[in-house]
Amino acid sequence: MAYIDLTPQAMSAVCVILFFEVVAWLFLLAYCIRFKVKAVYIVLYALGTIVAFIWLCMLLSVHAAIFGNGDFSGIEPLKDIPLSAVTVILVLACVLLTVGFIHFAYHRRTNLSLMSIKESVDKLPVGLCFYDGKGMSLLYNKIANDISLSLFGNEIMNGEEFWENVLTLKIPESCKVIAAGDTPIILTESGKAYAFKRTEHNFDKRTIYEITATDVTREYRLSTEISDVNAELKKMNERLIEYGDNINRLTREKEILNAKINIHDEMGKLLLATKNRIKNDKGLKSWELITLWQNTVKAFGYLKDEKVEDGLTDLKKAAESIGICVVINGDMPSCDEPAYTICLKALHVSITNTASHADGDKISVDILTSGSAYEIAISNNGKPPTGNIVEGGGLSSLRMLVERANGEMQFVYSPKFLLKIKLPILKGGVYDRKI
Amino acid sequence: MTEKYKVLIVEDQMMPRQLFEDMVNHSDIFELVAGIDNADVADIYCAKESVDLVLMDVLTKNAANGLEAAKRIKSLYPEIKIIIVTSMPEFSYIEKAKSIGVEGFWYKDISTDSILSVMNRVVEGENVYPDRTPELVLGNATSYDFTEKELEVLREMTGGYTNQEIADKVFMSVGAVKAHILNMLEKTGFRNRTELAVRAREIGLVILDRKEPHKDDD
Repeated sequence: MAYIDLTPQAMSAVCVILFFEVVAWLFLLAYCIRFKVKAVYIVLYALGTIVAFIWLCMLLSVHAAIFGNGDFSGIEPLKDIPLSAVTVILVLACVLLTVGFIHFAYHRRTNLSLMSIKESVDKLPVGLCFYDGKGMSLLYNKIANDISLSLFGNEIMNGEEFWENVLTLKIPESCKVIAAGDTPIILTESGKAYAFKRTEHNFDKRTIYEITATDVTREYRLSTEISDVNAELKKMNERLIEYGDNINRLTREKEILNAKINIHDEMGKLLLATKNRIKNDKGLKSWELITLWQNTVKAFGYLKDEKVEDGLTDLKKAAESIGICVVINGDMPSCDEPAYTICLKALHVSITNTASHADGDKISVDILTSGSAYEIAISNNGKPPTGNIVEGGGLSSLRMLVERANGEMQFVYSPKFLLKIKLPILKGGVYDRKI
Repeated sequence: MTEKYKVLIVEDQMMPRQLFEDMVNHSDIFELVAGIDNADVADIYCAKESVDLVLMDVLTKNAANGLEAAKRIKSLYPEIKIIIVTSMPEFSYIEKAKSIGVEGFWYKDISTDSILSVMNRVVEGENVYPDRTPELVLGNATSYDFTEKELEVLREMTGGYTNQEIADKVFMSVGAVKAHILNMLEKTGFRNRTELAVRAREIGLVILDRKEPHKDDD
């Protein structure tokens, strides 16, 4: 049976099927070319397209000849196309197309497309933007776009402009800069914090820039909490230090209070005992009561407030107790100055050495203030040293203190022996350490 | 008549100082040289060879440290005998006193021997020390439950120092400091280090001497 023996409707149906097969082949061919599938598939699909197209043209020519003027001139061989050949072609094409579409589906599932890249990038928790050397955006995700909208009020049109605005912190007042610099961190109005970073990539002699905006909201909140806790701890620490400084005084006051309470209790008992003796002539004897009263009154005297004297007075008293008189000429540095402590140390060493070695009974301390420094000269009326001074524990620790305070210490042997110290004037605080 | 032993009393609180002075004045073998409140000038009183025995408090006026004063006196006048007298149970005082070479140590509040009997024994040539420091209660623990290293760390904590600063001062790693603090918190049951430091300082278990030179002072 020949193809031309078919009914006109059947022939039309065959042509339509063949047309769709051509379209299907073309689709597969176009897909393979677009996604650069292996060459063998391109060739296969190209052949399929060509063969199907040729058959379509042939059958359409027969169709036109039958339903036209019935003239088969030029296409006589086509009159005898067997139906079986047409059937084989159709079935083979269907089978090959089925295989082709299976391959197409497999390829789609196992390979990335532009859409899949965009979809996955949109799902990232990081804001991402790629742009070229001219600033033109190549790819950006939803988060990056949302950030641009919240910070600058517009979508990312130009990647370079977006980065410049982030780098120069041209942000609205409702947003806050957490960190500036090459990787700025910005707190948006919605309370989210982003850390921005730009990286340069080179592909095929082309420069592509990548901007990432990492959500650091949790880290920012934790660091804020840590700062608050640290500030609180610092206050607690200061209170602890103050407590340590005051605890001695507080302990003493507590002990004195306890002692006063004890004496008060003893007095109460003594009053009752005295009353018993006077009224009832019973209990403790008079002389025992008198002794107890004397002790109690004496104990009261122990609790009186003692005058607190400064270190210089203590030194002078101590010197006096061993028969050495200390005379200060000039003004001592004030108690809050570091030089005061050093002066006391120098005087202490001088008193000890005068008593132990010089056998003197008078120490003179001459203090001059010359603008930026104290000049202190200490001498005594005892025997001068026979040779050069060998610095023992007291003098060497004094020298260490003086030099640490950027001062100078020297001994003068004539016309009389002097210990000379020069100290810079510094109100409060401590001297800078020498390096 | 046998010459009396000359005694210098160094005690910043007036009441105990007066009591010591009265006791010495009423004694047959001791004679008072002076009663002072500042340990820093104690060595000056010793300069004229007029002192045989010193009763030295540890914490005196202007934060002058009696142990440091004792060390100075011992280096200048080794023949002078010294008895450290304190009400503070700080654990390191006894060891420091022994290393300095003082002859006696007496706790004001808890010693069973009277100070006069300790003084008598010391001038006779005996070294008189308590067997151990007083046992103090700190939270769920006692002072005997802590190691020496833990107490060193605890002492620096009362100064409000950070872990790094404590590690530098006691020559430990920061990790070791943290471990000691955690151990102490577990032993005592205190909630945090501040509570531990405050309670320890309150009972006098550890006392930080701020004048004591540390590594970074060189």
